[in-house]
Amino acid sequence: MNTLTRRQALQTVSSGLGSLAFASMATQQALAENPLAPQPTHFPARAKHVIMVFMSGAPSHVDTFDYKPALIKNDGSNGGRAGKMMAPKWEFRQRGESGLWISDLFPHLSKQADELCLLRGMHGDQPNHPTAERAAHTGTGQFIRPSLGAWSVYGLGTENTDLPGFVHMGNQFRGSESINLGNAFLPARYQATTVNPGTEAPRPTGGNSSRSKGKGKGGGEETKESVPNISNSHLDLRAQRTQLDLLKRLNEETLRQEKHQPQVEGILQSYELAYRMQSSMPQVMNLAQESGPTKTMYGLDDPATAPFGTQCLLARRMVESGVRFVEIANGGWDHHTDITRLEGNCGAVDKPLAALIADLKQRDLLKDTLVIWGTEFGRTPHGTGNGRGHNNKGFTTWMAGGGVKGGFSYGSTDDLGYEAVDGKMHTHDWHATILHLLGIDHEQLTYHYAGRDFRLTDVYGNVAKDILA
Amino acid sequence: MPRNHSLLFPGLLALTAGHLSAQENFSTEQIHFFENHIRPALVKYCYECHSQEERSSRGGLFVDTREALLQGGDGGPAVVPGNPVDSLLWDAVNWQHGYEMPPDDPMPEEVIAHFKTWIEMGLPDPRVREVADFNSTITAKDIEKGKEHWAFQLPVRQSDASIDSIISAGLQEAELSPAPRADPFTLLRRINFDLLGLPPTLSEIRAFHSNWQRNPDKAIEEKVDELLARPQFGERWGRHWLDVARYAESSGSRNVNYPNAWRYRDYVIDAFNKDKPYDRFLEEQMAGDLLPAPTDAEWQENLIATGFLAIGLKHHDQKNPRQFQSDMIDEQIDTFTQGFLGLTVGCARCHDHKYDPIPTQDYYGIAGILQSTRTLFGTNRVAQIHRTSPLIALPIADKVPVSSEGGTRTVEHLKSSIAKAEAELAAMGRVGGMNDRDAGKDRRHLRNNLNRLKGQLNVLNEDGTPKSYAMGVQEGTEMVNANILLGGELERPAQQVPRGFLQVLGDLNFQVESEKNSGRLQLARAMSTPRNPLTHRVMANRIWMHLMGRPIVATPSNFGLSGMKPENQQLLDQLAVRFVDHNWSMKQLIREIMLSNAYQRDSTYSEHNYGIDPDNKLLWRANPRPLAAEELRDATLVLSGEIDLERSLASAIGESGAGRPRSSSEDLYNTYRSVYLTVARDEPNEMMKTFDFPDPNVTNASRAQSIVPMQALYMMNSEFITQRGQAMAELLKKNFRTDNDRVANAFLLAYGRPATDKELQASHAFFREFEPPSRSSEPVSNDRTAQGRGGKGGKGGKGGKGKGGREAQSDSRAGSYAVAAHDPLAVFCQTLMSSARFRILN
Repeated sequence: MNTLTRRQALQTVSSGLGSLAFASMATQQALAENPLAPQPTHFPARAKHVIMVFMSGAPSHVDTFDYKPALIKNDGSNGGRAGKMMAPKWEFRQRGESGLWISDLFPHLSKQADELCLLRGMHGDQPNHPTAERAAHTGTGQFIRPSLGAWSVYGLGTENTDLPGFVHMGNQFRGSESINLGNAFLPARYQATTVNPGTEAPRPTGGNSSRSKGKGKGGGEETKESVPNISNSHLDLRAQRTQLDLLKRLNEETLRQEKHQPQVEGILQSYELAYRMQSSMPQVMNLAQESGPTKTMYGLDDPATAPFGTQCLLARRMVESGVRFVEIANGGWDHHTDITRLEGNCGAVDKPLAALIADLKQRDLLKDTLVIWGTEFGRTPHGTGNGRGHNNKGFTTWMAGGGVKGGFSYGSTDDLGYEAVDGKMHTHDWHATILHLLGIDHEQLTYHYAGRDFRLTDVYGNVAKDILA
Repeated sequence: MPRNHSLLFPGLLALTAGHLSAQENFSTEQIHFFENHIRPALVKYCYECHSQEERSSRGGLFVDTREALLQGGDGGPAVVPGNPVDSLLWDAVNWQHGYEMPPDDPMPEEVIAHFKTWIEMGLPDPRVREVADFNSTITAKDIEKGKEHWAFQLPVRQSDASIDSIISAGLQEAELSPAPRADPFTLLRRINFDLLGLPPTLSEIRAFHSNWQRNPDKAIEEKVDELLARPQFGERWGRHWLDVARYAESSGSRNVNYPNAWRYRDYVIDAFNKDKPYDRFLEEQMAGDLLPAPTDAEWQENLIATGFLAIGLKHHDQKNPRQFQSDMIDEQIDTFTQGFLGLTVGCARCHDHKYDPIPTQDYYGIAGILQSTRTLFGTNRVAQIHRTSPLIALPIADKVPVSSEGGTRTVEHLKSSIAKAEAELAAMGRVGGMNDRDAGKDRRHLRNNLNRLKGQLNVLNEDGTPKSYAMGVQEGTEMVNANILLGGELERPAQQVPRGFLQVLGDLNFQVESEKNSGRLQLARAMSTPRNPLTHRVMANRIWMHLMGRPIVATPSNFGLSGMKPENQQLLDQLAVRFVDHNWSMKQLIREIMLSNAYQRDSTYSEHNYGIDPDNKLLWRANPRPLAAEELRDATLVLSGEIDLERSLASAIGESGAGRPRSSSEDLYNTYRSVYLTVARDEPNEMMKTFDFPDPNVTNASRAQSIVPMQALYMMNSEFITQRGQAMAELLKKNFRTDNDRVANAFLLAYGRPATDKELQASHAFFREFEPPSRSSEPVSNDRTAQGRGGKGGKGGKGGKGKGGREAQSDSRAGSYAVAAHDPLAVFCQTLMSSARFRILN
């Protein structure tokens, strides 16, 4: 093979031809006006929205979704590896019409078994939490790369430009927040907007209301806004509208002088959108519009399930309002020393997850909303004291809705649950499949940066076509 | 780590067995002992985590060759041949002194006894490491061919063609007529921001305008020269370089502070202000420690300059020291080859460069230079921080932001605490035997505490005054050549390559023969010579980009084959040639560009020109740009009269010392220039990040220029901007008596020009229509901000300045304003700051 020819071929690929952003003149025009405008997909999309719930800390697959009779049989035996086999402490049962094996840790979710697509052959490269979480979000544990959510909005734009395209709720990621949810080299508009539910600061209705929040108070108790700077501390909407009218007239005058100036136009539009977001964001965040039964279904009446339940309910509201990608991060799944704590973690998410799937379904949103239950890796079948060790060679995630088969199990680990052996799905394959469901060819979604075209999947990734409905 | 590498590039890697080193002579009997008793035990108990076969080297340790055991891992050599008691391996198999191996259950007694015999024998071991042979796919012929790429050839001098003559030729050819010179107001604002990152003041606007009436050319030239000489010049232009240098004050990853990083920041600012020749600037950053220094002051400066190599992202929680070093060196190579040479040499770590004629050998030739260099970055060895180093003690004690109030008492107190902790630890070593995990935990706790105390003592002189330290590099103790690592993986070493540079640079390439030096000085000189076809062009392109809003090579840190071709190579080459002609003076080059017609054009739209050249590649008009994050913040502080143009001593992280960074947003409310705000990796300052401050985890060639609603919300609703509006209103009320005067001067301050009629009409309409929220006649006292930083003597919060004689009562009150946030004039001022004319520089 002539190496120079090969090298030249690669250069041609690098010139950015694959990028969606160059799909057509019409798209370019639309992008110039609004870079977040919806964009055509490479092929028909199965899912239009994503809700990813990320269980940070690596839940044990052999105690939850990966049934291993051999592990139960070999409980206590020395399997030739470091440590004694540890049988799951919870019973597994077949669920739904499909008969998927799921343990008693998820009694509510089990009722939605026929919607679930279990991915039991997951594996990854990174054995440590922070790097593995980064890899699960960005495709690499090593470098700073854009998050899955950022890539999705970059590729697809968003349907409701009154709202951000990529929203994050829930836990922080131990020091990797800006990486796991970040835009890296993509423009800043693709980064996640972090929303803290339930702490919306009320707009002053008049009167001398000094602001209760603020960074300068010297720490301590602070009321955080649901979105940074979403409300104004000293003006009511009417006063602010007068201010924005002035701003608009000034900007229009600048535009008149400059004639053609996309940056000035961009600024002009951004204030109007920001002004609308002040109303639309709090409206999306306002759960008063939800019925009592709905709230109960999500577990909002129980302190154990209320935090995650609120996030799930808000995620549904956001998707309904056109948000492209919602990520809920849920921490504390690191059961290295005590596997029994798994019960508490599962208890906090089980009912809300089941409610989310049921609710999306009853609103006919599940068919084009992809729900993903993700994590960074799994746990060893043998014990480490009362817990389980890290296992990046085999673990389980699942998807529901959004064009995947329901009541379906894809891939498997070996008899004990150590390594993925069949239907293997590397983190890169997982990303490729998610993008595929969104109508995006992961090999063509590129961004030219620092001299080359970057992809979420780097040079890897295979779409798991078997799971497509 | 790349996966399935060999699958991707089939047939590229030929693996053959080789030897890393010759084996020692042992008797057949001794070898039999090893084969019968030791090898099976190592395979059974240790290989899973410590062998090349399993591609696992936990704690940096391999046990699959004698050499590897002698080299050891995280804790140093694993075995001292002949001496079990001093061997970590012996401790480990006995579950002693914090090492417990294998981790679940100790080996049987008789096996442990065999290990003792083996070590006493002197470690007989016939095993050799399989060394792969790396064959590059890039041949000598490919490299020769590669030299034809434009950027690998020296620029051609075009006698004395000026910038304008080169650009005019392009415009004429395309039949474009360039825009006229911008008006004096626009031009002054542009010159001010471009050179200083600050808007002109009212008096500067008036003075410039009257000079312009007499002689526009002279007015411009004088203004450029005046501003080039101001200390604020280095603060603006130094920041451009700090983007490239991925400057930050914490490690990123498992984030720890780098409390001495600010010295490098100040060095860069000073270098621009002194107009340090760029070739010298490069040499100091790459090898300042090796340059002759006639005075201590020069030596000091040179040492601080090498901080460039030390301030990058690092994984201090990495347990494997070799992995840590490998990643650190990769980060260094990536930064300096992109930054200075415009080459992505880092791509050749795992495989031959896919586009450029840079084989993997070249990467490891450079890596050898850095392996023979000690990178000194500090940090204390505390919980989860495994990789630490000393720092460079500076020859001259400079001003440090740490209080020395405690004096000798602090030193004595620390010493006695250390002695106490050491005694406790020693006592602990005697009690608590094998299997006592609690004792191990206590020991770790004590050791953590001890290391923390030692860290505190290390930064103090005997009299309690703080020592001056810098991050940087020194020559290593041992000069080594690097092994090529297949796929960049430590566990897959291939042959060694001599220390050297890049073959494609022809006679600038070199091989280090000496065992006395690393070759780093040679490397710096090969980079800084005018015969290097990249260095001058890369910097000329960066300077052009910052002034013209558009680089000539659109990939400023990649001049390789995958980078973009220059839009006007003649222009780039001429700039590079003149740059060198003027002794690499950055100020000269900046001056020359700013005095060109091309720079001084206005940004007026022309339908005819736009139809032909919409991207303005031919520079028929000026390119408007949004103010950078620092410019925006500084400009609002200038408008409000609150800016403090003094240099901030160190930074918030410099003051807080060792430890973990908290949010970088904490010092937002001080009034120093933004270049002095703390920069912590992964903890970005909210305002800076919102306005596209780059991620300092990697080198940055150019900033994003996004315009997003989050920025709009920031301008409309943030505490910081609201306050600047209040302060500006306060200043206007103090300085001008009528509303008309206040409004007129507000426009002049914010836009650098008088308001247009339409703008005044809109303003009058606003004042007529605006109604503050009802029942809010009392000014809102928003005393929530402007905290002074500790140790600043109250300098941090300058909110009390210019408050009509009203003294700020205390630091915590320093941010209160006499004008309420909802005061019409305050809202008006905030609106001006938010408007496009203010945020976009045209």
